[in-house]
Amino acid sequence: MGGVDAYGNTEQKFHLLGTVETTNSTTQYLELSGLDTSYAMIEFVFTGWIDHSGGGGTNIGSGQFTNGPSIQMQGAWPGGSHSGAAHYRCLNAYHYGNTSGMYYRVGDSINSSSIMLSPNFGRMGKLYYISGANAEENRFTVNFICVGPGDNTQKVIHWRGGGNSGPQGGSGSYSSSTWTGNVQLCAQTTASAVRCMDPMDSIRIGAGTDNAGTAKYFGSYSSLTAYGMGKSDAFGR
Amino acid sequence: MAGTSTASRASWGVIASSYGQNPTPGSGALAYNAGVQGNFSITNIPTTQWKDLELYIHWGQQSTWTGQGYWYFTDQTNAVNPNQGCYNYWGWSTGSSNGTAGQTSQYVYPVSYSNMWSSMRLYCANAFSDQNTKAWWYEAGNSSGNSSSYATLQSGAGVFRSSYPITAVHVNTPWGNGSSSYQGWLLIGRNPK
Repeated sequence: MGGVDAYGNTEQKFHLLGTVETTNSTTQYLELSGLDTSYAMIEFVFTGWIDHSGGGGTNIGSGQFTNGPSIQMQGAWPGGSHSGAAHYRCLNAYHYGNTSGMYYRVGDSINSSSIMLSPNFGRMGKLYYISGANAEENRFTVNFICVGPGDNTQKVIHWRGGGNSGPQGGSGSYSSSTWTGNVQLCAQTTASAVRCMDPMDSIRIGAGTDNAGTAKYFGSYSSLTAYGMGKSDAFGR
Repeated sequence: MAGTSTASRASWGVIASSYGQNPTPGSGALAYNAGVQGNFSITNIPTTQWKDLELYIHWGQQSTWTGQGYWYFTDQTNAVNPNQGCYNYWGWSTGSSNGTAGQTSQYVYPVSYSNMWSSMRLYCANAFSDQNTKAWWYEAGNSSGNSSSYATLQSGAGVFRSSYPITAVHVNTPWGNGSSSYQGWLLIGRNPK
């Protein structure tokens, strides 16, 4: 522990590993892969907004709740390195500014599912879409951590974040919310072989779909950034 | 930008990047004060090196009762109302506020008095950029102390609607009499420009 690492940092290291950013409203997924997992922890930061106004995608009616972004990991998505092993378990907790209650959904939060295991993705947050006016002001920021990303064990991503205040100073009852939750890939069921026990080196954040399954898109200047923190020998590796 | 990007953009709406093993420093301490008294402002924050803001605060009031504090950002215009968000708190006291705007709307409740611990973590992405809306979230907590049961947790989130970089954070406590022996803050820049 400690000392000087290969990059000249003393003590514990904190490195930017990579970042991607949108420039318009035509992106459904932001994805980072091939990340260095030789850290005690990987942290991801997403900041951006979902364009519900129809800019490039689905037009959501004003004044209704919408799902937050989706999250996938370790290439467990169509065309990814673990496309056949996508079995997500997710707890998605959130609250609104007008009530002290904490709400939660499990699985992929599609409709009112009570089934935790999803073949699709995990889900974070829930949003109240006020209107398309100044929709780009409906931004949110989420920080994710994955402890021990390089270990050959089951990986869990935990998050904390929120935002999404109403446009133009609007103060609608649900206009802001804070989010917390976690997602993991199911490593094995009684009927399956062990799977997804390799490094947590990729992540994909998606804008989701409307209730009819039509893709939504992130708005401009939405970004996903990855950091590595600490020395992996903190976990004996 | 860190690494060797092999970014490609598929026609079906993915921006993906795969990175080589060439990381760069991802954060740096911008400023700190290990002994700040009463209410305080963190001003003249450098905005040239990093995009994101991360702030850690701990408080200690000298009064005999708790109360709510609040915080807010300002930019170079010193406008008082671009900060808008919500918060919830649970425990000894339970409450919430919806997305109101204004200088004093972001409560931290309760802030501690003697013999209690309280602290806050605040994160704001693109705080030091010219992006027109910057989204933030925070979490705070207050311990029960040795003679009361004020333990409370809090979380909040919102946006700062300004295209100017954030240059100051202002923090007010309920009684404004926090001792420099028990209050301090650390400001970190994240995500290199």
